Amino acid sequence: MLSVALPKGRLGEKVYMMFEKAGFGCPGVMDNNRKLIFTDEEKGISFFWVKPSDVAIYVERGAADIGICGKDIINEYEPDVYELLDLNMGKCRMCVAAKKGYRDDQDRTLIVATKFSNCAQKYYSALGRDIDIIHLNGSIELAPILNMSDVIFDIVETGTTLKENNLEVVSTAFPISARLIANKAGYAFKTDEVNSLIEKLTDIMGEQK
Amino acid sequence: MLNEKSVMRSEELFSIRLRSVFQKFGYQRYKMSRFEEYDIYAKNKDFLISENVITFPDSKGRLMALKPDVTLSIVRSFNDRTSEVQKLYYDEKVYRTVHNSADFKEITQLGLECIGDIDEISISEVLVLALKSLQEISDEYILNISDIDIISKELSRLDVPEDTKKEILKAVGDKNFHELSMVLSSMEAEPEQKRRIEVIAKTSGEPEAVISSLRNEGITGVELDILERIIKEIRSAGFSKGVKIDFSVLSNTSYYNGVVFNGYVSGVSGKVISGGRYDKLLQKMGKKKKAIGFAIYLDELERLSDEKPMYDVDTVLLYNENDTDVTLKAKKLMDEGQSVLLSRTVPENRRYRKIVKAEDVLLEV
Repeated sequence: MLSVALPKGRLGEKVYMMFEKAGFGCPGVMDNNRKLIFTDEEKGISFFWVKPSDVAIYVERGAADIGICGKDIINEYEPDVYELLDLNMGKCRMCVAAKKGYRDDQDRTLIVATKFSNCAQKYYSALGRDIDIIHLNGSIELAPILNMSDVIFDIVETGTTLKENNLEVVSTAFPISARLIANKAGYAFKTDEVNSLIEKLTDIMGEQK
Repeated sequence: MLNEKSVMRSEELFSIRLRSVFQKFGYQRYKMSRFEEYDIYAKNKDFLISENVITFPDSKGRLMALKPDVTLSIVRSFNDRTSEVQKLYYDEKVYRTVHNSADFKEITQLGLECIGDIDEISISEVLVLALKSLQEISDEYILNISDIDIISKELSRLDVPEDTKKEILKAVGDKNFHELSMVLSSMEAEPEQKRRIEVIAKTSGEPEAVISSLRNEGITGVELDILERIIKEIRSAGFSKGVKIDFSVLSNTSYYNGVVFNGYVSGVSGKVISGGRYDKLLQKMGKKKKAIGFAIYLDELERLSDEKPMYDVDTVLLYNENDTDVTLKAKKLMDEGQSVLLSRTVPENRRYRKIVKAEDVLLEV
């Protein structure tokens, strides 16, 4: 039995459709009800929906054998898991953004507002830049507008929100897309199952191109 | 009915079973003190699983630590001039943080070390002991074996920055092949060298198949020959299944070299065994000999225990002030093989099979 942690939301639904196409569908998964776990004994697969940022935890702790997780989450939490496949979906990028016309004053500590403290820390320490992190849980764009921070370190998808708030991308830290991750022990015992699933998903991705 | 197994926690049970396995192979128990000077850990921080160490000054003002690790102490006390191979095992409490949490935990760690002029036979024996340990824990187990020198050798041929090598190693360790090919294609190197790295990263599974397919791909070398001989030894020791070669097993290359391995058992989400050759640690501590060892994380096994008993106690023996011979009556029930909780009131938080009033228990006269 292979258990899959899917991230709630549009991305998770899109990925599930791929699973279904690959022959790993499970009745009821897409129904809008309060059921939590969906199992197809015959195909040997079970799905459950979790908060996107929790997928890595479910997989690392072995509650799920595999899961679908954004690269942003993987880089932030650095879970001890295998990252087996880039699904090329949910593409966006982790960026540094600031008010239009902003210029970095190397003289003083840079104040960075972000939801991704660990990623920001790693990015700037590689640059050798001294920073102060303000950890926020949402509406990151407000921080530079209110002069609480110099820049924000956040996910940019289309850039519309930035534009509407008179902000612009200063630099890109890393590209993001959905990845298929696997628990290391689970993979050791279910190598063939996981690999054959990945093969099928790769084929479908090829067709979709 | 009570037996030893029902009294022992799974951790204690495994600890006893594994110790008897090690003892059978002539390994001696190494007992260490609870405290060590902090210095030894500060110098080898990267070797520790978690950098956090509980420290305190002793009566002479020296900075001491509650031991977070045992291997460092064993290596320090190892006499480099002896020609004998030291075979030691330990069963100790260590103190460190786990799972990114900030809180310290007391962890029972069991492990063994083989230090001296070790050869392929001693390496094979350690791997066999790792397999036997896994076998004691569960019927379903897998030992992933790798030799980090194989990938290190390829990396040392590359003329790229250290950071890039780290990225490559990380991708290999994560089985992250899409990022591995991205890193490889972005750097300047012979296509053949890039191909070799990709082949090593992607080849895993049954040891014999892995070794022959690596050779077919033109990856040869003394490391692979040694690995092959070790696998043969393991097979002849009776382990026909549960062994895989997987180059995603990586350990810190500044301490480890050569054969490294991780063991998993079905039902436990993390690795339960982790080990490898650590000649480089000895070198760092000024010793010339070689070493291999592994640790078993018994704390990971807590959740593996057999089903919980239905009851905390068989019989609750209720008594009041007027009862006589209460202890004797309890003993009578215990002699019949029951566990007995003496109580004046019906316990609320204990699960019991039955309640017996002391006055109802008849003693033979």
